[in-house]
Amino acid sequence: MLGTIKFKMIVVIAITVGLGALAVTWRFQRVYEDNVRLLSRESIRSAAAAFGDLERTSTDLMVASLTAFLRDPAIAPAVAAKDHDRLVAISTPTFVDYKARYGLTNWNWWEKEPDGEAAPRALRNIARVQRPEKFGDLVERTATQRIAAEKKLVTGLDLGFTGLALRALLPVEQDGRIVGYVEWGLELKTFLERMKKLSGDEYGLVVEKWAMNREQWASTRKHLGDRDNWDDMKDLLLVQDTAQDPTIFQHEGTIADVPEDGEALEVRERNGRTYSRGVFPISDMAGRRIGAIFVLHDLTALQSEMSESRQHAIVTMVVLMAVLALVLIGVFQALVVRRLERMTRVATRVVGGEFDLEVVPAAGDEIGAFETLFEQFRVLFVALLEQTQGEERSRDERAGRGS
Amino acid sequence: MGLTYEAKRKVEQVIAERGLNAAEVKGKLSLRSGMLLAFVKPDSPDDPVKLEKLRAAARELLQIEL
Repeated sequence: MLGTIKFKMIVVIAITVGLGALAVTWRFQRVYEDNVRLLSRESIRSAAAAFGDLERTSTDLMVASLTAFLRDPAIAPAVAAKDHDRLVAISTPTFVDYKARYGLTNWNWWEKEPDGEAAPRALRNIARVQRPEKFGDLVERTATQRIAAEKKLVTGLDLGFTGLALRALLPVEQDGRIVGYVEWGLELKTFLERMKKLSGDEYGLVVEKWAMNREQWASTRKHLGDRDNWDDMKDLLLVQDTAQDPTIFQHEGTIADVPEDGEALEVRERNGRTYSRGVFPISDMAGRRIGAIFVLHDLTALQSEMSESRQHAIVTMVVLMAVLALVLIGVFQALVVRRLERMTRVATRVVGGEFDLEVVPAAGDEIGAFETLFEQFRVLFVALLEQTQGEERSRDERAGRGS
Repeated sequence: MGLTYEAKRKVEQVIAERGLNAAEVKGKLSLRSGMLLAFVKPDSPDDPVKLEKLRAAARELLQIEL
């Protein structure tokens, strides 16, 4: 059995099926990896696009609402008088409404810089509508520096003690003179949560530690009742995120290394789920790259679907190859093996004395040609035997007559 | 009567007893021993080598001792 062509064919087919299954597995793995790369890049691209859209529409909203609000004739005199209570009273109803409807989180009123100071480093706060008890302090930020220097609309991302916020600032004028400034702010956590609602992905905003103040960060986290996460990463700080488990945003690289259009980092397994991680950089209103948004895209469904498809493909291929193997073996048996066995049987019986047993070619193929040749040999063999027998008989007869 | 002829007769007897195909059995024994059993006659000379091969073939195919 082990030496038969049939057995060798079965071995070859089994090896082919095995190699085929390996090839299918390898191919599916490649397709899966390609899809993961594609999805990861797409999730980064769409997150960056969503972020840009939200930034634009939120800026438009803040600018439009501030412009409309500043038409109230009671505003400018209150700013000029640095009337904290009056400004809080006027602003609070609108702030509460906009906070609930649009997620705006900060509304600040700023004193005008002292006369003669063209580009002050800091502005004094008249009122924080979101936190009325805290006011009168000097605040040094890019946004306040720019509005004081440029005296016109300033918008963009700005880093504060609690992280990044999108801000829009306008000068407040009375009788053609600037008497102070107003600022709407939207913390990026609101952005990230909106983006999560749209895509289902998780987002984490990370900034370089050099842009933050260690003590103020600790104080802010304590005030918010959050754990101080300053030491979680070497150079980076996770300031806002949407995930239940912020450790999935751990990263040892730097923001400077992130390409402008973002990059896919890796695929991670966590708590039985598979995520692709990507990141894209963000810049503040001064054009400095100050942070990055990490994107976590859940690949679990894709992975299980691919795994299921791979199993189906392998099973289908093995079944098809098995059916093909059976058909091939059957055809081989009918076209070759049986005819060879018949010739062997005929040869044996001819040698055993059944000289008139003929081999009739079953087909005009290669085995048929051999059957024809074999039949010619048989005829020659039988003729030779008859000739030998005849000569032997003659010799015996001659010997009988002679005796 | 030679030993080879005696062996042939014993083979034919076993074939008849067991109802085997005579041409097939004799053909196999002939191919293995190197002599045509159909042409073995009472006065055919014995070739010890071929006879031994015939005995071995009969032992294996028919389980008999010649």
